[in-house]
Amino acid sequence: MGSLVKFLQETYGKKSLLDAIKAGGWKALIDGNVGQTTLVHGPGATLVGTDEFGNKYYERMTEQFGRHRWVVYGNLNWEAHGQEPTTVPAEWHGWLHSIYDTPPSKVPPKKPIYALTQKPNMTGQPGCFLPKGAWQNPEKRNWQKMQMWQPPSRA
Amino acid sequence: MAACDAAGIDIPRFCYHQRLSIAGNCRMCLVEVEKSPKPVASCAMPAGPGMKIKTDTPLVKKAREGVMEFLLINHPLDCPICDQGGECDLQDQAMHFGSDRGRFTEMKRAVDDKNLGPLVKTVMTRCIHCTRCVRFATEIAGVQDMGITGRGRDSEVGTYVDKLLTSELSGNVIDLCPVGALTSKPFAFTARNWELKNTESVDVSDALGANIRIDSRGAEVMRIVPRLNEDVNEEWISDKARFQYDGLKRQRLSVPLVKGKDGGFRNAHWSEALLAIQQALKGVKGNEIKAIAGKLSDAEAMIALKDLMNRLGSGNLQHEAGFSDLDADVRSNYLMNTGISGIEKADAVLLIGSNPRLESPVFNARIRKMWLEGVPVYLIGSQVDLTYAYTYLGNSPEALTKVLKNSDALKRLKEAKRPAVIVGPGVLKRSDRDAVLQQVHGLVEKAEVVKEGWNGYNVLHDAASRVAALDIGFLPSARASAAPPAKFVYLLGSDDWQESDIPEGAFVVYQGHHGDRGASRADVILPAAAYTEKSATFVNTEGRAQRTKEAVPKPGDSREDWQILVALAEVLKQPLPYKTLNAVRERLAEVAPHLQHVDEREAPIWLNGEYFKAFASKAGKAAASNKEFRSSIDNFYMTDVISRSSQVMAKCVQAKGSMRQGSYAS
Amino acid sequence: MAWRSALSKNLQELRVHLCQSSKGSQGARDFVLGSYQELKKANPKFPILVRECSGVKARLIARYDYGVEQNVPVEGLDKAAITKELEKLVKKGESMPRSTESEGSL
Repeated sequence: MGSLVKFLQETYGKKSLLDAIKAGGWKALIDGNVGQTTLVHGPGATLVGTDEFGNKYYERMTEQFGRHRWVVYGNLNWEAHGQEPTTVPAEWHGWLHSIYDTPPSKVPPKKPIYALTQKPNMTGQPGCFLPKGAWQNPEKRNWQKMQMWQPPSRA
Repeated sequence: MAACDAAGIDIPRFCYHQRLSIAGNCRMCLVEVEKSPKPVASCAMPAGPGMKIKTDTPLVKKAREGVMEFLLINHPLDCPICDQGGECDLQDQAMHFGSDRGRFTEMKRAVDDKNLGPLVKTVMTRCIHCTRCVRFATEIAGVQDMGITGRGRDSEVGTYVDKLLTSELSGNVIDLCPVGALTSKPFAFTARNWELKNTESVDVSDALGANIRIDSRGAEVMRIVPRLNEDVNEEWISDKARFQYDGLKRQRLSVPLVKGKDGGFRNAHWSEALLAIQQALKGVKGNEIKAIAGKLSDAEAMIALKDLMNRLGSGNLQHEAGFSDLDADVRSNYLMNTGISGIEKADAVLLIGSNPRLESPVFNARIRKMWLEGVPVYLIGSQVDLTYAYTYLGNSPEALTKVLKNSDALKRLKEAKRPAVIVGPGVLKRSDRDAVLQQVHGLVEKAEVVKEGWNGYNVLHDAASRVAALDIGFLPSARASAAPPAKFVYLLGSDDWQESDIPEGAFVVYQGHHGDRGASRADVILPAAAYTEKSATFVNTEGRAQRTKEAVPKPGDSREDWQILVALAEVLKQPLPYKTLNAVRERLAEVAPHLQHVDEREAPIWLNGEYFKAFASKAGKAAASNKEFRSSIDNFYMTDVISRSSQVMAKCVQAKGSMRQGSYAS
Repeated sequence: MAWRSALSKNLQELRVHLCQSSKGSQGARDFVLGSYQELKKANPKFPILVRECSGVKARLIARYDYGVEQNVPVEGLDKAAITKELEKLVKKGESMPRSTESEGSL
C-alpha cells in the first residue's frame, strides 16, 4: 500500500495522496490504461529516469521479459497530446524496447548531427502532415502542366 | 539467329543487337543443333547448309531456364521501383522462358551507381553485363568511355574513371539496355509505359528529320523514343531530340498578347489581336512588309504566309537560318543528293566547313560507320574530335584552293568510284558564301563528284524548316533587295534573326509557341502550336517530306500556324483560297509536288554544269575571304527555342562545361 | 530574244514541275537543261524553281503580282513548244496589275 501511495504521488507530482487524487489520480479508476500502470503494475518499481516531455521510465527486473520496463507519460490526459507514445524520444525508445540495457539517464547518448527534436504525432490537429495536394495544406501545388511565358516587365 | 528470325521463330536474347557486333555473353539464345555435343549460341554461330536447328526441345528449354535463373541470381528485386518495369526484356523473357520457382537462398551482390551525366540514370546493381552499352559507345557513338572492369561476380560496367558520357548519342543506351540499369534521368519515376499513348511523329531539333515516337499521358509529353527508319535515322536519335521535350512545358505562349501604350503586354482575344494588326498595316505600303520564317516552321504555315505576303504586295520573305538569298532554283543545289542512307555507298568523303557531330549526330554516326569500313574522310574546317579519324586539310577557303590545285585529296576523290562532298551549314552563312560555293562547284567538277548514276554533292542543313522553305520558294523575290526599309515585320516563330533584319521602329508580329527573343521584340504575339501539337510537313536535309502528328493538345488559346494566317488574311481583306488542312496541302502540292509524297525521297535532277555556269555568272568574280570555316552551331544543347527553354538541356550545358574536355566543339 | 529579259519584268516567279523519268516530261527536262542557263543569265535574280517529283505531269506555273498564278500543263510537249508557252506567259504578264512587289530595280 505504501508503494502504491508513493507511486501515485510520484506520478502526479503531489506531496499528499489527496492532492494527487485531486490532480488527476481519480482518472486511474476510470481509465484502464492509467489504472493498470499506476495502481496495479506500477508500485514497487524503480524510477530509472525522466525525459524532457515529463515521461517517467520505470523498471522492475523481477517481472516477465517484456513487462519489465515501462513508461508513464507526463501528460496523462485524454485530449489530443495526452498519453502519446510518440513523445518517447529515440534514446529512451531504445532502452524501453530492450534494444540496449543502458538507460540514457546513466549514459547520455551522443546525438547524431542530423537528429531533430522529438515531435509527437499530430494527426487530426493543426500542424499535421498533409500531402502536397490536400485542401487544407497551405502550400498550394501548381497543377498546371505548362508554365506560360511571363513577358519581361517594362524597364 | 538471323535465319531463325527470317523463318519467323523468336529466339530470346539479351546481348545480341542487330546493329552492334556479336558478343555472345548472355547465353540466352542457346539452341540445339543436331550433331553438336553442346547447345550453341545462335547469335554467334553462322548458319550453314543442312543444319538442323531445334528451338523447342527439352534441352533448349532447360538451357533457357538455367540461363534465366543465373541472370536472376544477382538481380535485385527492384521491379516496383524500376523504370523499365512493363517494358523490361528480363521481365518478359523470365515470364516466357524462365522457371516458375526459384531456389536462391544466398546473398545477392550490389554495385555502386555510376555517374554518367544528367541524362542517363544508372542503377548498376540491375546490370546483367550484356555489354550492349559498351559496344554502342565504342562502335557507333565512337567515344571509348564505357567498359567492364573486374570479373565474374564483381564485374562492373562503367567509365571506371569519373567521366561523363560525352557523346551526343548517349541517350540511345537507354533504349539498348535490356534491364533497368540505364534509364532516362528526366523520365525517372514519372510514368509507366502502359499508361502512355504513343504517337508516331518526326523530330525537328535538327534537319535530319529523325522518326520518333512521342509517349504522352493526357496533355503532357512524358518522353520521346526513336522509331525505326532504315533510311533516315536507323534506330538512333540525338540527345537533343530525346530530351528537349521538357522545354515544351516552359515559357509557352497560350494567349494572344498585345503591347499597350505603356510598353507592357496585355492578354487579348484573337479578334482584338488581329484587328490590332490590321490597324498597324494602315498606311504601310506593300513592299514595306517583311516576313521571317523560323527554324521550326512547317511547310503549311510557310506557304500560307508566302501567299498572304504576295497578296499584300510584298516579296520580302526571309528564312532566319542563314543568309536569305540562297538560290533555291535547282533542288540538287541545296539537298543531300546521295540521300542519308545512300552516303554509305560512297568511298571517299570530303567535309567542307561542317561539324556533323554537332549539326546532326545521327548522320555523324553514319559517316563513322563508313569510316569503320575503310572509307577515307577529309576535312576542311575546324579540327575537332568527330569520333573518327580524318585527314585535316586546313580551315579556310585558302585550304580549299590548295586542294583544287592538284592535291592528294583531289586525286583520291577522282579515283573513287563514288566520291561525296558534304558542305556544312556554316558555309551557307558566310558573307563570302558565293565565292566559296564557286570554289566548291569547281571542286565538284574537277573531282567528278557527279557521275552517271551517282550524285555525290551534299549539303547538310541545321534547321528543320530550311529545306521546306527552299522547296516552296520562301525567298526574297527579284526586287526585294531594292525594297524600302521594313515598317512591318511578321516573325513566323523566328528567334534568331539578325539585328539588321528588323529596323528600329518597325511593328513586329510574332507567331510562335515559346516566349523568347522574338516575343520580347514583338508588338503583337499570336500563340501557335509546337511540333508535338500539330500535324505538319517538314522536309529533311535529303529532300524527304515527313509529317508530324498531333500528340498532345495545344495550350490555352493557341491555334495551328496556318489557321492563324488564314484568319489574318480574312481580316486583312485578302482571303486565302484554302480553309481546311487538306486544302492547304493541295496548295503545297501545287507549289512543290514532292511535298505530297510523304516519307518518300525524290531524287533531284542534276543540271550538268548548267547550274554552275549560271551561278558563276550571277555571283560574279568576288574573292573568298580568309575567314575560317566555323560550324553554325556554337552550343549543341541550345540551338532552337524549345531547347533553350529546357532545363534538362541547361543541365547538359553545365555538365559539359564542368568536364573541360579540350577541342570538343569548334 | 527580247522576251527573255522581260521575264523578270513581267513575272515574279516561275516554277517548272516535271517528272524525273517519264516520257511526257522529256520536253520539260530538255527545256530545263537547255534554257536554264540563258534564262538565268538574262534574269540573274529571278527565281526559276525546278521541282521534280516522280509521277507528276509536267507544268509551267507563273506567279504574277498579287499572288495570281497561271498554271500551264506542258505534258508531252517538246522543248520548242514549252518555250512558246513561256513566251505566252511573259506576254500575259505585261498586262497584269502591278503591286508594290514589282517596285524597285532588279
